[in-house]
Amino acid sequence: MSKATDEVLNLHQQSLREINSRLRKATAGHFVVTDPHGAHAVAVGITGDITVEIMGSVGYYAAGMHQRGTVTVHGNAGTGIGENIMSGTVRVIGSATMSAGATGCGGLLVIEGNAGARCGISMKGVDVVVGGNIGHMGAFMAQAGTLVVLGDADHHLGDSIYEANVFVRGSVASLGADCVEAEMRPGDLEHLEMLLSRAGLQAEVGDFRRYGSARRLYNFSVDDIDAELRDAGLRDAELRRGSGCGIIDGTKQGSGDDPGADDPEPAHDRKNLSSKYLGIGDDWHHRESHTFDRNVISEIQRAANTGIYRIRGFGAKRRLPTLDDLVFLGASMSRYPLEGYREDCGTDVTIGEGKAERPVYLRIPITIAGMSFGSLSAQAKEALGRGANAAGTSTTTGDGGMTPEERKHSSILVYQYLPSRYGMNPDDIRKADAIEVVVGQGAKPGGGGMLLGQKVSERVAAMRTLPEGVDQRSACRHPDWTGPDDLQIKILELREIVDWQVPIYIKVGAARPYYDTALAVKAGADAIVVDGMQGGTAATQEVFIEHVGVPTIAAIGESVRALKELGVHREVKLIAAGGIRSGADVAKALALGADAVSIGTAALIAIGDNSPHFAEQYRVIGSAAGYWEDYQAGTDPAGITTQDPELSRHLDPVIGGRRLANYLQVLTLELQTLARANGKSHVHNLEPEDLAALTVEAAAMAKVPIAGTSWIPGVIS
Amino acid sequence: MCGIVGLFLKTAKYRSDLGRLTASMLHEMRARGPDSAGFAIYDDRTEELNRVTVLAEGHQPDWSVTAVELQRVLQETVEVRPLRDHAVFETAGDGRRARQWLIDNLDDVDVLSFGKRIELYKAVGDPDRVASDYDLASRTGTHAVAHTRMATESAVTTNGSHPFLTGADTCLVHNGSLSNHNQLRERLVRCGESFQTDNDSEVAAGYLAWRLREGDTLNEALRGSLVDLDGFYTFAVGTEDGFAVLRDPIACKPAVIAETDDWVAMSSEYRAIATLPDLADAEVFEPEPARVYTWSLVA
Repeated sequence: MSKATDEVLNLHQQSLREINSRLRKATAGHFVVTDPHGAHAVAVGITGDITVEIMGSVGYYAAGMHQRGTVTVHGNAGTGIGENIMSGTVRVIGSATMSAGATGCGGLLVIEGNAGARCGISMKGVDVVVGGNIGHMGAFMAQAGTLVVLGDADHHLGDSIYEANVFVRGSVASLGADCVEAEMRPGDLEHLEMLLSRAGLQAEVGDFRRYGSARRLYNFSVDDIDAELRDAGLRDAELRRGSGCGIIDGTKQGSGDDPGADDPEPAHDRKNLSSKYLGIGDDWHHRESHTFDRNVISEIQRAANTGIYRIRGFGAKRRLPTLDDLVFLGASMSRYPLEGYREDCGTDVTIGEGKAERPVYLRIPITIAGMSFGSLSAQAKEALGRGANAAGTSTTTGDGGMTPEERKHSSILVYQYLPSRYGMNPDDIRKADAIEVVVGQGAKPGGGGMLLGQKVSERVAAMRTLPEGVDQRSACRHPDWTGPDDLQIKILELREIVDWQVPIYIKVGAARPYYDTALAVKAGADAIVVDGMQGGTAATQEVFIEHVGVPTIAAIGESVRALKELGVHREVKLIAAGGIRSGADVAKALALGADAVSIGTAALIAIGDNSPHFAEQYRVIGSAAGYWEDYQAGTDPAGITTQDPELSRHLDPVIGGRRLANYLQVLTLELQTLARANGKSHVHNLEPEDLAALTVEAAAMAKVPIAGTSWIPGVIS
Repeated sequence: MCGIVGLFLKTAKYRSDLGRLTASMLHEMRARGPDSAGFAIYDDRTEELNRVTVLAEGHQPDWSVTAVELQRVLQETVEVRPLRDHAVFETAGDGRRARQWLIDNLDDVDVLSFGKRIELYKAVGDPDRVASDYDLASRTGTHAVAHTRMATESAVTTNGSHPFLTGADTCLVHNGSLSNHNQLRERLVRCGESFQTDNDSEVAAGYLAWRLREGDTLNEALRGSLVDLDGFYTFAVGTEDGFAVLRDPIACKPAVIAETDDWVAMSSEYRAIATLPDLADAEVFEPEPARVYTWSLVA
């Protein structure tokens, strides 16, 4: 196959980076890559109309994020061949292992032999043709595109499939949830014929069966017994005799075995009788249970009515140990304070020095956390960008990809790389100033993203390759890696695709921060974002928000301990997040060892969330300014957590941006005030020794002594 | 989180190269496990001797004194081959008794393996250095399993390194992360197993040891682990005359198998297999989830 014009690239003689860089910069030509021997991330991020022949077997992610050209692997391929392919062709002459064509958005992937587990997982438009068999969970959560299998498919084919099509010639061991065999539609056979022809594989189209979505999982199944009974025209009295519990016409009803239901005596008479014979005052009848308080009772009634867990936004609402339980000692005689305004107190932080060609430089150690367009309105994203720009800090995309507007309005933009890979594409990733690989989120460590149908508008749906109006439930694990041993290969691929230009962060929910931080370092991250359980969300199960993860105050020290043990504290940067509200919170997080913090909910409040300006509108939708938490509902009067064009107009992005800039300025001034008061000329010189704890729990979690003592519970000195 | 490799030589063709081939596979798994490494080697000597591998981490005691004492107890000749902080005791006497005596009578010494054919070495540090320190490349034999470790939740120690012994001539290497090992460890302790670390993989090994002791075949014990072990795992298991591979039902952790008429190789990544001879003739495939693969020297 060697032609006179071939350029031969040898993986023994040249580095992977040199070879990938050569291929990425080529706009035309024929290249032969020799001696791959299972190497990872070979020929990734190609953009030119070139042909590449890889003469042997490759490891993970060969031809990852491929565009336009043709890559042929003359051998077998490891995990994630052609992952997130956009266009062009990738061909494997042998077999492929797991996650072939994962999240592919377009183009053609041909595997002449067999493909392993999760072939075509979360595919978003790619066509995948497999000459042999595929492993289990083929086309898992497949959104669009076509998977053609000439051989057999193993168990759970098409589990949670969306609008992708699957054609299988051989047997199917079992179908996954919501996947059904479907009729061939007009055009299906022609499409199949065309794909087989493009793949160069021979098969009779009449031998294939088609599988697709039953669309039964597109939206949550929500019961509403109360509405049913109301519709049946039953009276309240009748309801109470049945199992009637729940909220009916806004009035909370008693439980079904209300002893007064058949009592002819009016309620006020019963009360008097109780007082008279039992010696109990009126208050006895209004005594709230601590175990079953009004919120608990209301939630049980809601659950009994709907049969679905409560989904909401915001963060944890119950009382949790916070940074408020720490105080700074300040300076006096043994330490000398700095003068405000006159004596400098630095606030800058640089992320990614060493590995990235373009490290991220932030003027203040406060970043804006990842929040997607989709969960937020375009106006809100713009306001966040404007505010962050004014303050000299970064904003972050979210689970849905990058919009041109947010790129335009954010000078420093961090691109989130999430399990769903919604909207993920190599062009946008190359426009980013940093990449944040999201493993988890403080509000829901171990859970995936969620966006309810009312916010999956036409534009949001198109960006995510989803049907409009579905209740989107994102994957909780990445489709093509699990664990740090695989993550270090994924990071290599990402670095190759962006030519080692920008830093790579890893974001984890505060689950086991000591281990997660150590593993993120071992996997090669430039920065670690640890998001405590107070971290907010646009939508997830309430049980997740309130019951999973550890509070931020407990997480920071554990991450720092891991960084120090590995000798990389202050080198690999730590960004703490989750319930940061004030300059005091920022200063305390830094004193505990973080290099920066990230804010989400606080930033939304700054731009107008829960504003009293919309008091009446909040009341109309059953809430009140200061209480609004239903970010999932899409009915936000402040125009922030909505996709409704009318509501979105309630937010002026310029004004919102100014408000955020002011807020960030206050956080910074407060941070500097505290740092100067402790004698620091740079906020990064704050340290745990500058702190004292007010409660035993804060002392134990933050590993800071209780005020007035040198005692840290649990630490043997 | 780790890299694992296994090489099982069905014919005599490459048995003199077992160590060299295993070392080259291990070398390719360094990035997956920079913290520590270990290997178990099953040699092809024909003498019917029992062997016990011991580790005195960080020091090199005078093993000849121990050998003399053990000889007195067993009433059989005992030879000892020290190698850095490891040593292999060999005797025609009762192997289990030798193992128990070494456990009971030596302080600060861990018994890593016992059996007729297995020798097991492990140490903290760069996998290549571990292979060279313990002379892996020069070893001959029928099969080997080896491991490179990136510690997740348990400490980076020699004891936490794989392979883990699961009984006479049987050991296990693991890539993944179990989620019910703490309660399973308690159950196994009640069943008489003992554990030296808080490592999840040691619990998997202890589970297999318990099942094998209760009379399960290796195949049955591995199938049992599909029911009793929760979480993510790819296992490679060596036995006196066999080799097995198992992935959990979800099968997120990678595994590749290659097989020719002469050998079977398994690894976390293909690059380890790419180092092997006659690869062009090999059938290369990804093992299916929840399926026990076994190979045996016994027809």
